[in-house]
Amino acid sequence: MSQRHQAIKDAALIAVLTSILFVQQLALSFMPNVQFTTLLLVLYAKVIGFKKTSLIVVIHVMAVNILSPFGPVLPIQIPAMLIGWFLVPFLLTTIFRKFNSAWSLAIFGFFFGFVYCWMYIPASVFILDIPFLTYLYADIVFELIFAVSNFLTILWLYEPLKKLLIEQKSRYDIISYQPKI
Amino acid sequence: MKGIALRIVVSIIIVISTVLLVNTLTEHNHAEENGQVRIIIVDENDITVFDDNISFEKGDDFFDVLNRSFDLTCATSSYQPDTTCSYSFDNLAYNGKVLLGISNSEFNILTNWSDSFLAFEVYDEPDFYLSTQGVSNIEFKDGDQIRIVVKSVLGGLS
Repeated sequence: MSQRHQAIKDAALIAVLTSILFVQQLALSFMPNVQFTTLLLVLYAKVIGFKKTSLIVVIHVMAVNILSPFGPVLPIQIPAMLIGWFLVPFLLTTIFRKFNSAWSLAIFGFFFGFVYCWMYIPASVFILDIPFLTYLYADIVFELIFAVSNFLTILWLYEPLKKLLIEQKSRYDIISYQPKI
Repeated sequence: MKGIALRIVVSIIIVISTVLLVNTLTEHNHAEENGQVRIIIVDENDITVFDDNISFEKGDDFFDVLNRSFDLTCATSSYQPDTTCSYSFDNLAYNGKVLLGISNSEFNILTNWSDSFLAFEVYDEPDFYLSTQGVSNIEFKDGDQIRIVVKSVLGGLS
């Protein structure tokens, strides 16, 4: 396959995976902090690698802030959102690259839930002037729900979704990146 | 099979623990006796448009107290204004109304959630402090002072 054809297929793949990420987040937005975003980013990072997943994160953050019917997050919090989601592919391809089982990734997702929420603290406290302890106290329930949601979705859905995505990859020869299985 | 059983057990334990923990952390405050609370309302120009005591009855939550004395505008599930206040958020993390506007015959305040909102501040000697609870769950008792202030989202809270 030529590089050009591969690039077109990669672009299509990134568009499809980003759409899935965006739609599920919107579909589940009636339940605060219950979503499959962490699960999907973990899956993408493990199957299609760091570069493509990072690109998906960038497009997803843009799409959420431009197209969401609930409106964008505050502009000063967009970097926190971007860095927060970017941490998934970054950590899973560096420090935690040996995390491959559903259990280890579920535990990663649990702690990531708290870390992601804490990414919003600097802007909220130093720019929006929200008292730190008030913010932390008001947010802790949402952090906990996000962490548990990540844990359960990864624990139950990571392996079947990974199998599915790898099957599609083999079938259509879409992805050049070869994951370690 | 053993792996699946372990997953089921761990998942059940985690879900039950989370529900219990969230219920413990989520406050549902109702008045324990009849009384009065001082309400101060400050508009977007920092002008105090209301400063008076209003009465409450045993079993009221703070939304009930305001609803009895003012015309309120609440948020729908998509944060659109609703003067009937018929929608209540009802999920694991937050139960209650989201207040967008408050008015009477002398003033009219309406926020839109994305650019402006109503901040609830509870007096605790020597100052007012931002409430950690929404309008339906704010803790109050006879003699308390609660300030409702219009805030710009980008303007910070202080």
